[in-house]
Amino acid sequence: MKIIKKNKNPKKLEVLEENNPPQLKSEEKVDITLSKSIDENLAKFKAFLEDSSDAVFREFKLGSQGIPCALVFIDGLVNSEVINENILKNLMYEITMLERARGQSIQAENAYDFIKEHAVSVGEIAEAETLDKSMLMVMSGEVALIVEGSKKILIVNARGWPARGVSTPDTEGSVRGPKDAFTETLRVNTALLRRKCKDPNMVIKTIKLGRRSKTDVAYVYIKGITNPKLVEEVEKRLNQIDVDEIMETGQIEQWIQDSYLSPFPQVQLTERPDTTISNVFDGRVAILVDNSPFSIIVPAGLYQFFQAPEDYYDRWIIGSFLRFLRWSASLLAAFVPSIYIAVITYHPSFLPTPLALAIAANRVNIPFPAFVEAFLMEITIELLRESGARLPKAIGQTIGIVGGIVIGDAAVRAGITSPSMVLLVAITAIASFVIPTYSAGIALRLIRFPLMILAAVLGLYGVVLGFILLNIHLVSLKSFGFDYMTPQAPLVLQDTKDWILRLPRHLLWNRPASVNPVDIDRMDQDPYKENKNAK
Amino acid sequence: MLNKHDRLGGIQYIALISSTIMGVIAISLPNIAIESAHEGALLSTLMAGILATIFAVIMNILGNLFPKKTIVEYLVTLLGKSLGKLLGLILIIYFLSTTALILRVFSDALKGLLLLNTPLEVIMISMLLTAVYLCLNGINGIAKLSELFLPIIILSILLLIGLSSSNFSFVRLRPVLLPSLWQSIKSIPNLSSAFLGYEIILMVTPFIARKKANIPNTLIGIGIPTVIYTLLVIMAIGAFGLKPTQQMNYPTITLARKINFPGAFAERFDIFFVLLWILAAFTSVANFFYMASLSLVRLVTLRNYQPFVYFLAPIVYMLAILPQDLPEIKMVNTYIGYLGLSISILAAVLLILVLISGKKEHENG
Repeated sequence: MKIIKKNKNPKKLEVLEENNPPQLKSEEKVDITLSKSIDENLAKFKAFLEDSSDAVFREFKLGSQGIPCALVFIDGLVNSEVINENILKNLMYEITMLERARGQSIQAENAYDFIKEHAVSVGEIAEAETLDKSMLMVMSGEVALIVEGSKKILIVNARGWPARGVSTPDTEGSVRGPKDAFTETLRVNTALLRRKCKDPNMVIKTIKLGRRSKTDVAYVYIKGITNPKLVEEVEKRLNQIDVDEIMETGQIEQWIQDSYLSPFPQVQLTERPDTTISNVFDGRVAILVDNSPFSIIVPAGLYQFFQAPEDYYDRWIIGSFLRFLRWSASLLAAFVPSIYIAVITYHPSFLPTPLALAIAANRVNIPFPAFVEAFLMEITIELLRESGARLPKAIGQTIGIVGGIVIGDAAVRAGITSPSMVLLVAITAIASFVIPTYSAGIALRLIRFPLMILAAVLGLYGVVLGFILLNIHLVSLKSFGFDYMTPQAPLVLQDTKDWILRLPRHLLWNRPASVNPVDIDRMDQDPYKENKNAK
Repeated sequence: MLNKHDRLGGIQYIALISSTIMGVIAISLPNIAIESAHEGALLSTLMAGILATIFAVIMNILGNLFPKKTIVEYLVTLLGKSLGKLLGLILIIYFLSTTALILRVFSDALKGLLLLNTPLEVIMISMLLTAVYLCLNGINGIAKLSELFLPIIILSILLLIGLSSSNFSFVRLRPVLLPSLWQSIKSIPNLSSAFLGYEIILMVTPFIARKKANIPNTLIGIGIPTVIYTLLVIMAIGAFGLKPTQQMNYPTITLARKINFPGAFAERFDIFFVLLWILAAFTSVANFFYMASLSLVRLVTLRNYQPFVYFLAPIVYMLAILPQDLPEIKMVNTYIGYLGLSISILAAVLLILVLISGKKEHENG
């Protein structure tokens, strides 16, 4: 650990000392400062982009004086309509009309400013004074306008690339509530969030991560609710990421999480804007990554993975029931196979006599001990799940049919497994899919296997030891410095209202105290709060 | 980092005390109480609890006078280096041998109840390794785990008491309602070993948030086991009668075995309670074990206790396999009970000493 850090530090120091933005990497060393000559500037762009077929260099002459200009952009990332109608048409045609009307021609000295102020009819423009800045913009889909006689390059926003529209969530469907999900375009995603919160205090800050990929990463929080220390911590951890490429939120997750030695997710991933925004309202920070239809929410407690947005949209009794169901299901998914193994192998007397006899009768012809039987079946169902996950829809049905054979009557008749085992595996599988968050569900499915081994070795005592070990692990986990097992350990009483049960809305007057928000009150007109103040 | 409460809250303090006290003995307590006090079983349990409460309060006051030190450190401050270190060493031996004893009693009971064919060593080592894993997470992990398990333990015992109320009869309880006072008092030392574990106060006060290690919290912390133990004795005697209870090794488990209510999914509820009892036993073992390693590291004035956890684990194991049979375990139990009582008395003497000499340490000192 320390050795890596030592290797890392000198590099960082160097960058800080030079106080320069990181330079472009190329085989040819190119000076990043720009000159007044368009030919030199173009040559610098071409040094990088000449071999790329999608780079477009459009040279043209401006006005009656014929001032050389050039557009540099990447084909496919730009909207050609904007380039044709709002840039080229203005610069090549309208500007001569303007010259004629005013009776003066544009000179090379003021051409740049004139273009900026009068000729480009696009909302978002910027200026770049160095090659690396303008290059980055060009690579992100902007158009660089180089004008003879200017050291600056005008960056015109003409972004437009093929993108998937907003569609319904794939992994977090809901019966009630909005049906939109994040897409791969960061700007669309931030717009989805803005649409849900018009408070100008909601801050969307963007930084670029990845040495080469230069991915836009945005983090969202609400000033005046979110604890500034949390925001600081998020910034710190994001800025520590120093890798070549960032492709997905999952990569960010692995760089910013607290413990990499845990199967449990320490940040919440969601593709739902409503889940994201309600967590931001709770005083958490959401991180969005360009090219990823998922957002990260930090900090995360275990209890968050059992929450679905519908809990809040439905009546509280129904919400509470569903919550309770999910917690029970998680226990079932993790512990049922191991308890079965332990009871069958060590403590058959635990069961009511008729049931014990029935199971024993079923198992008479099974050649394997309970552990092997359970392990085979659990592995089979994991195989089914994994093969089904990536199968094209057209042949997806096959897996359903084959699965019915493997975990079903045929397996029993082949003498591999007993009917009770099939039932049990099915229950476990159903229970493990009840958990609304994919990453938490897979963690729970994973811990089944060590628990099964413990049960096979030590019986129910092993299961309890496994339970203890699991809980030790969970209480020692932290997410951005916040306790993972809150609100139970440590007990935060006011948060337990929205934990295993979801109490009526008017009782949930506080934001989760466990994330330490600056402003804890969610509602102003609250009878309970008034009472508290009266005290 | 953020929100890093290095210091524990009031509820964690309560949970630490309660879960350390409540442990292995819960399943055999009615038997022990009747064996030593006969008719005075109930009164004696209650009085032992009250005595423990008094000592716990004394320890609490003493600990609060030295808000930044554990007993191992202020023993040296108060009594000088040689005597202080010697008494500290005795304290470590006490914590170590209690860990070993609890581990042994637990493993014996578990072998008898659940895992007849499993070697004792396997049970002990697996338990000890789990405790080591917890101790490596430090006092925060221990407190949080206690906090997590305590409600489960309390609820399960209350459930046990509630479910077995159909077996309960006041008639059987009659002999213990008018006990001889002398007999009850005489058997307090035997029973006080059931309440051992409140010495944890002497070690944890520096870790508790300011003003949270106060007397009400201490009273709650020790009140929970006192009430639950007393209820267990009442239920066992009320369900079986005085003499039959004395014959049972684990009356609480027998109580659970007798439960039957319509629609039960399991034949034997006792296994269910044995499992929950493992949680209670684990928190006791782990907490005592942590106290042992913590006091040792404080005695040698080092900072990192983690190597000591590894170092002490084999010692605990060897101490635990030392007693040959049940009578020897009982003898060790008696000695440790007396040792625990003497430590409590030592705490009282120390408190008087501090109050007379005025050698206390100020909050910001």
